[in-house]
Amino acid sequence: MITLLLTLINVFLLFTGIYTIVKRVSAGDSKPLLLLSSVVILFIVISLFYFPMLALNQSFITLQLLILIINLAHIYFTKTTLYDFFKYRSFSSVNLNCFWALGAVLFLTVYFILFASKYGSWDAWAIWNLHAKLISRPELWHNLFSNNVAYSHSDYPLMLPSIVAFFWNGVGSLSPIIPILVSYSLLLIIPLLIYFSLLNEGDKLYAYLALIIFVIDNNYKTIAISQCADTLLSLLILLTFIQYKNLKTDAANRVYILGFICASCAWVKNEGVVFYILFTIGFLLSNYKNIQTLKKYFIGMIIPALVVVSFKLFFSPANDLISANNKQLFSLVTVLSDTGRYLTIFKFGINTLISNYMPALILIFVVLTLNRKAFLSFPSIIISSLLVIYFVIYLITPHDLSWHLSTSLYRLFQQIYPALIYLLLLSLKNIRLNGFSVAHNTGNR
Amino acid sequence: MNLTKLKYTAPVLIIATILMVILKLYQLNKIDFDIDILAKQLAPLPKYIKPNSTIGLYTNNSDPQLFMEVQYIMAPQIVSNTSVPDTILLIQNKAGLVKTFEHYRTIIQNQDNGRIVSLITKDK
Repeated sequence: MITLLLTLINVFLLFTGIYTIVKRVSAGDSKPLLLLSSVVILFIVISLFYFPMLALNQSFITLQLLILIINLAHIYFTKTTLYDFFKYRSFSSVNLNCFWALGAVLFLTVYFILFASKYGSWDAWAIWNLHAKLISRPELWHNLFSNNVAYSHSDYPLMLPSIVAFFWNGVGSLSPIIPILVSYSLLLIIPLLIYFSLLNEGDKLYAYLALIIFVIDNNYKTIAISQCADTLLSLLILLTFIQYKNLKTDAANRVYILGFICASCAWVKNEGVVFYILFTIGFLLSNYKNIQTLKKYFIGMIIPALVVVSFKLFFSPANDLISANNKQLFSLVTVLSDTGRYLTIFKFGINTLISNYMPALILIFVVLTLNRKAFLSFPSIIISSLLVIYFVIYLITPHDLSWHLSTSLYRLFQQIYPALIYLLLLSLKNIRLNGFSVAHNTGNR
Repeated sequence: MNLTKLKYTAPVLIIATILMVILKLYQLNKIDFDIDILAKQLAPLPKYIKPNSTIGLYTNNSDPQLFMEVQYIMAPQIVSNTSVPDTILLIQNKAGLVKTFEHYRTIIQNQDNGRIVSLITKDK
């Protein structure tokens, strides 16, 4: 009971602390956007706290005391902003925008009520929640690397399992309710984050459209409630692009958060490592003259990057795709010159896009028609490069290609899907604004 | 839209959503899935197993998913279906061929849902 109380207090204080920091560095963001970003960063911070506890073989109560000390130190230095957070706000401040968001939450919840299962998909209980159970007791967490559970991919990063294990320790039980609630919150946060980000840009039409897309998209909702890490990764990729977009208008200290969230992608899944490296290289190249910005970006990414590197270097086994057991790596020429493999991947990709990601395809078509230049932007180049790398990985996979594609391709698309919808709607909004300003100027003449 | 109506509708929406989620969690907690049924049968076992040891698994069920379900239920305890350590967990369908192990003694056994679950250890 004491542990539960301490966990609740710590999580709440941690959240308010994160909120005050995010608010300070994210000038111009609306309150709902700040709150949502803070919840995502809270998840990241919890998992980053949990890993050192495992690596140093410390108890959960030691971790709680450490978090409490950090929280108290933060309150001591920022009491005025804490007061601001607690300030009473009645429901009279609810406006029409919040009302639509609440409506979307209700619809998404109805889907959750009807279709959420207790243990999620096979991947959820056989990989992610199994890992969470294996790391739930710090003294036994090395069991994660036992050959007997090698089928569960022990090299997978631990953000989702450590969030679940943190709350399992907090409530003192390995209840399936915790992963269900984590997946439910991810299901809600993604559409809301896109909605409030687009509202923040001042375009209601596309914000509403984003909300409608996610409310009616059964494929998104099915994967979101499956309790797997793909939705968490898609959320962090989305937030990285939102922070990057807002960087242009407010280049001060937001870069810290950008670096932090981008590096945290690598702590969710191995695909996140690829995204993190690509984004960082791109960011480095596009800002090489701005040393101050780069410095802030690298400071922001230090902690998550250290956690990922230490996990990969000191604990995790090699990934099956890049290990010495991948015989395809020794016959690269044969694999790369096999046109049949290219065709199989291409056909499978098109089929998956048509059957599961129609809203994205329609938006891509519209943006291609109205604003092709949008596909030359930095985020588009990053997403395209990501897809090219995934394509190459499928070419050299040691597994049966059809099996590998059928079990993973839809998840790879899911990881970039929310960011893609956000970026496409954003580029449409820019066309509309530019169109209006041209019309306006012509009218003035 | 009338802002006064919004003022009253918003809390109703929030409360309705929270209540729905609570009811869903309550319902899921009440339903027993395959994993829950097996978990109930395996529940008495961990207190007879040293936390940091590996136990073997023998089953006369050909379903490969059973091993993963057992591993999930028993975690953070490690279960092996390849090596044969001193302690073995037997999960045998009564309908199948029930195997007996010589030179092993039974620590605990229970029968339910047409399944015999036993924890056996090597005689010293």
